[in-house]
Amino acid sequence: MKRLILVLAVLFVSALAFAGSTPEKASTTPYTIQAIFPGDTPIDFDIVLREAEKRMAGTVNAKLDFTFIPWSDYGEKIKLKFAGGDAFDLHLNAPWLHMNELISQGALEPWDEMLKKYAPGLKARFPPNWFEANTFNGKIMGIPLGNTLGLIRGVYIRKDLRVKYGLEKPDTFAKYEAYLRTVAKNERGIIPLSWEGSKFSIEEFFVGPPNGLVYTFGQNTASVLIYEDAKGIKPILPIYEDPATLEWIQMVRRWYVDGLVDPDVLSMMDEKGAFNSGRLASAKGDAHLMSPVQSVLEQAVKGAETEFVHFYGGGFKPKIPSDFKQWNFLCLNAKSRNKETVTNFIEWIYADQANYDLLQLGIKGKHWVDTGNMTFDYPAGVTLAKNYNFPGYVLLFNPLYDRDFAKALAEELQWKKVLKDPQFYTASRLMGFNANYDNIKTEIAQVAAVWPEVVYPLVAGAVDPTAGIAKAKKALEAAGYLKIVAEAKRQIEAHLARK
Amino acid sequence: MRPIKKHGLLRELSIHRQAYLLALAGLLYFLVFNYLPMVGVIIAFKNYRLNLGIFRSPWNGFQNFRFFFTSGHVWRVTRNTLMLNLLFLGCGQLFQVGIALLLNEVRSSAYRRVSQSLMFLPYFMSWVVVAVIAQGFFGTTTGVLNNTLAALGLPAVRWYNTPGIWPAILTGFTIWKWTGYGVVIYLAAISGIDLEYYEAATIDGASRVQQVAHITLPLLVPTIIILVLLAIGRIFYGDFGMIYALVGDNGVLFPYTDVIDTYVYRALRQQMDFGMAGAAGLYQSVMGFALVLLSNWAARRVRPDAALF
Repeated sequence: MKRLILVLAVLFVSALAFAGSTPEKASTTPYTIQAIFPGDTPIDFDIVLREAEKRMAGTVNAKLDFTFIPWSDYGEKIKLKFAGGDAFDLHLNAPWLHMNELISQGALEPWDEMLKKYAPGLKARFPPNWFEANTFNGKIMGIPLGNTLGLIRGVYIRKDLRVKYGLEKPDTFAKYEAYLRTVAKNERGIIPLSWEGSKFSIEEFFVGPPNGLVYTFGQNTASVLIYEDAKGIKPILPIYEDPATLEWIQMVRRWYVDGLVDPDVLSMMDEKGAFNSGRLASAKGDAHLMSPVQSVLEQAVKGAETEFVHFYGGGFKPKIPSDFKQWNFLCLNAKSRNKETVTNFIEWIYADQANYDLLQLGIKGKHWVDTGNMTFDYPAGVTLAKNYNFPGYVLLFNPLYDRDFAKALAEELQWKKVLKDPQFYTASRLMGFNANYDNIKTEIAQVAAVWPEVVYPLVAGAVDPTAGIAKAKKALEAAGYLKIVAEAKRQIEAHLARK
Repeated sequence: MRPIKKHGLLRELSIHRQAYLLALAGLLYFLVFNYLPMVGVIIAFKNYRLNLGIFRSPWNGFQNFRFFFTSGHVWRVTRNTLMLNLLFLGCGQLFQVGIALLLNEVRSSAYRRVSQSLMFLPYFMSWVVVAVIAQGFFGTTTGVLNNTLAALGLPAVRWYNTPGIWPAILTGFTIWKWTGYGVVIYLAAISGIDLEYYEAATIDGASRVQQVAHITLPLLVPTIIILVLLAIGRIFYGDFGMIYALVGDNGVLFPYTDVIDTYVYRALRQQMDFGMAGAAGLYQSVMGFALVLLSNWAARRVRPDAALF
């Protein structure tokens, strides 16, 4: 028996040893920076990485090993890699993935020390407030990635259909509804409006307050909406008492009953694909992201044109309160074996516009050409589908380095110019606010489990508002939603008091 | 069998050392991949933190179980899990055994092979692909089914808004996907039946139907029982891949489709809380284990030789 125990012990110890790691060897051999990003591996990616290594030689002693994981598996794979103690260096994370959880579990290395020691000039290469507004409990937990300072949200419609029926460009809900009705009546086979109704709410694309900010406390499926306008933070209410949401529910119910909203909205799996292929007459959209949509749409449907529509009223006041929060972050694994080299690499990207261009657009002359004034175009004869196409938001996006596509839609370029300009914004009272969910984990889990059942059908118009609101209130309160609302109030008040 | 004299473990090991040596590789496999990881069960009772790891994370008693057991949904998701799995299991076995019996009677081997391959094909299809096909069928405005209904002058059905129909739809898809796989197993079992039984029956004047009812079917029962027992061990695990792909987060359908796995996934996917997920998993394993013991006991009472242990 003793021997058996001994054998077991040996097995156990050797199993543990597998999990341990081997120390890094001498520093003359280049360090391999391992990074993990979501999406598909860009075409010619290897060529670009080897070229980058060549240009880095002498400055940064590193090889680049970047892996792309399809979006559908990305979240799970990252979780597994952390749970398994994998020592990769960089990856994309975000509060809408599991960044807050990783931080509270100590899995990410703060950049503060690293930047101070190894890349002291880096912060100055980003717009003002860029890092300050995106700290987590006062620390830089990820390098904020984005090519604009904010978002203008609204909906895409089909300009060709609108013109065909002699309608003017909608800037009010009434005009937009008229567009939907015309499509429903005349265009059989085209669904007027749909979205991935069991994954997202769409109302914020319609009812975000003009010249204001909506902040989501909690997560998508357990959220408390916090509104801010020029006057201040509005009272914080449960979702079923929020005036903007209630107004939306009434309107969307009418649309749903009248057949303007897809009857299968709750099972829609790919709204982008549906709009891009011409099956939808309208979908939610961002002002500065029109061109990619248009280029796919016009190939699928001859003569089709995308148009961006918003309901903020005519004549935008150019002072939007913004918390300058970015959506995506480049995070450093606490287990990374050579944080100095990794930081040096980040500094190298922004040391020269040419370095940024190389990673973002590929090799000059082969993948893109400089058309001056911070714009670019593709060389003659290059097919987009077979060209280098790097999703910049996973590694390097920076509004000051980002080039616009010279042939983008004029409307999009206009929006982008506005969105990249700090003048357009005022600092929100919520700047630097970090939510902490440690005390309400159980409540968030329980609310998240019922949210798709009681809230999403309601905000999609699929159920009767009166009964639906009562049902949502009952189910959410039973799951502890009011504790999340109270926690939101408490944390926001504490944040405002600190200021 | 000759009764074995009782002696110590070490003596037993040394007497049959060659046999044990042979089994060693297999035993090691189970030890490393199935038994050692069981230590991880303690994660259900811990406030797990990535930087501390499983063993150094602080204990937190039954805190992790609170979210699931106080949610008020335990009954519904447990009921759905059991109901759907029983439907899948019952209807699945019925089709697999039935079609295996029918195919066994077919004389033309070409027909048999072709139909077997065609039946097997869906097994290789990912649920995500099936979900897209399903939307093509059940879509309200453009779906094949509603178009057919319209052509027949019947009113359209909002399939994705009618929860009651979904157990049937899900069962239909499982049968479609798994029948080919099960048929192979049962045909193999049938081919193992001694032909002398049939010869004797033919001489006694038994018809084909009588032969199937009194020879083939009874001799298949042990195989059926073993496969059912194995399936029962996993009956508290919903088929997450299928249900999540086909139903997704369409809340209108939850009353009949929400199973333990989808519920837990929905609740915890953004939180990354391994402790709470572990607690729910432990509940499923313990319940499944109890059920296996129970059904094995029942099987042994009916047919002692068919029980697993």
